[in-house]
Amino acid sequence: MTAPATRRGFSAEAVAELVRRRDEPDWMRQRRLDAWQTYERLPMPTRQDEEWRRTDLRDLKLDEVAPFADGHNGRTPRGTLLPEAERHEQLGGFLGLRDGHPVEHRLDDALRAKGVIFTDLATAVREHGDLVREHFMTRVVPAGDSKFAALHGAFWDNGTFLYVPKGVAVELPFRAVVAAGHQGSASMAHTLIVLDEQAQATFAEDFTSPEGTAGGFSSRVTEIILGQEANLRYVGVQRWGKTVHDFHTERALLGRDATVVLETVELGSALSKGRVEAVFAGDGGNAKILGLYIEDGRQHLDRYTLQDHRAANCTSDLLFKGVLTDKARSVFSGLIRVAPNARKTAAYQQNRNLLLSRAARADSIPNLEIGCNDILGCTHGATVGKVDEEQLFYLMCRGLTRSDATHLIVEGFVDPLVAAVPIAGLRDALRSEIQRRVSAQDIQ
Amino acid sequence: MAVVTVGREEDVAPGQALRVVVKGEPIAIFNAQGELYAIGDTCTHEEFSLSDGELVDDHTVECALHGAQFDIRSGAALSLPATLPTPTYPVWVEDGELKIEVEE
Repeated sequence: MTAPATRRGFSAEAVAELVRRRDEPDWMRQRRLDAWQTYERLPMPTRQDEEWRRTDLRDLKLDEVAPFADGHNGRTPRGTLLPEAERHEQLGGFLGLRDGHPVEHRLDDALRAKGVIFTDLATAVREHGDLVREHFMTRVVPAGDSKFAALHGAFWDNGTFLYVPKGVAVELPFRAVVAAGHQGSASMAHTLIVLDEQAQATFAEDFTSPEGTAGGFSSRVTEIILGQEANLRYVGVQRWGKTVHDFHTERALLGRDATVVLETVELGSALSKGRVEAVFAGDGGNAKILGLYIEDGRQHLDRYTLQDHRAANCTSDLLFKGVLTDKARSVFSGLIRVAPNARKTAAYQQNRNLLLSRAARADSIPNLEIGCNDILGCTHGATVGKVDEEQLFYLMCRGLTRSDATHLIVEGFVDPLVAAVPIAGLRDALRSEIQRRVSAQDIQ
Repeated sequence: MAVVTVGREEDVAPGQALRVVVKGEPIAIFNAQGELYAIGDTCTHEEFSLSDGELVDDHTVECALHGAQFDIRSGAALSLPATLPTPTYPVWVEDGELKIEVEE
């Protein structure tokens, strides 16, 4: 058990103490203090704000959260954080973080020789300061982006930094596991990925904490910067314990002709509120944004997505699918925004929700803001429904029980998103995990 | 069934409502002319808090968001836009303390 932190609540004193404890250059210290100022200036969102209408923050007690762990407890964890199903995989690099401390790290020597940087962010701040300083919470997710982004800017603990230099195409995937104790304390993980021109990489990360009775607080920010013709495949899997309040901002900034596949899989937390956004800063970009969420009990998931077409000839394709049961609740609101100069935009958005119980509820709100007439197409679709009776009938005709037939249909529903995960071991593990979770449900 | 103490008698004055959370369930306790009633706090239309609503007569609460009305004795939805009832819970005062009975 980690020793309980003595300080509770986020405050100017807490930032000052954090700044004192950490061995960081002055520019980062100042950034934290500035972010705290921003946090104090911005109002806490209320139910009157459109983006927060359907998510109740009343049970979030920020005053009771320990803003940072009281130092590494010195325990050496047994075994690796890399899940068993993936240990045979060939990886370009692996990073394991436990409560903000890097406990495992390896990077392929050949990649290091080519100038690839893959390390924990705290180390990167010290050893690759110029790069981090240029990209960390500057253009993509600045502290002023939201109240929770500002809090993150002040209190972020660690995370992953991946940099791939110009022209380097990395075939082997990078993997990270961020593990948090979450017994009443905050986890503020920051992922910063910078791909230079024509760079290519694949990266998958897990956020995981044990089930516990004390609440936990997580603030995650994922910043992705893609240079001209760069190509990234990203997967983020959230497996926080079911008492954690999770706030997440994920944004990718695409340069000219850049390509990204962004996938998020949300399985845990009591409440997870986040934004997933792709911003096209240059012509010819291509973004595929995939999301899968499985919610049961009283879990609440809220996602606002944005496909921001600020340039011409870009394509974006978003698919979010959810499976909800018990009294779970999801809110999805997706916006496709097309600027007046974004000619030949092709943008698609779909949100599909499967409800497996009477009390589950999904809200799906697609939006379009189209400022240009000369586009190829902008479509959106939203569905919320139960398992199709006709499909069940045909499966039962072939000898399956109603229960087995239902489980099979649900697996078929989620499978296209699981199949899109680029690492075989992770893909198989997710498939099993989802199968187990769905089989355990008593579907009404 | 479990009995939980959620506050003191004086926490909910006549004509007022008190929102409590018991085992993850938000519950609204109303004091209607001295009589206590407890119903699920969440409006079954769009999830607003009924304790933020208004008692429009002795036994009817109106949700502040869209005006859906519920009978605080039975939890029944009395008007659109609500169509589904909200659950009810036994509530009483014992030694000055507010007690609610919920499922385990």
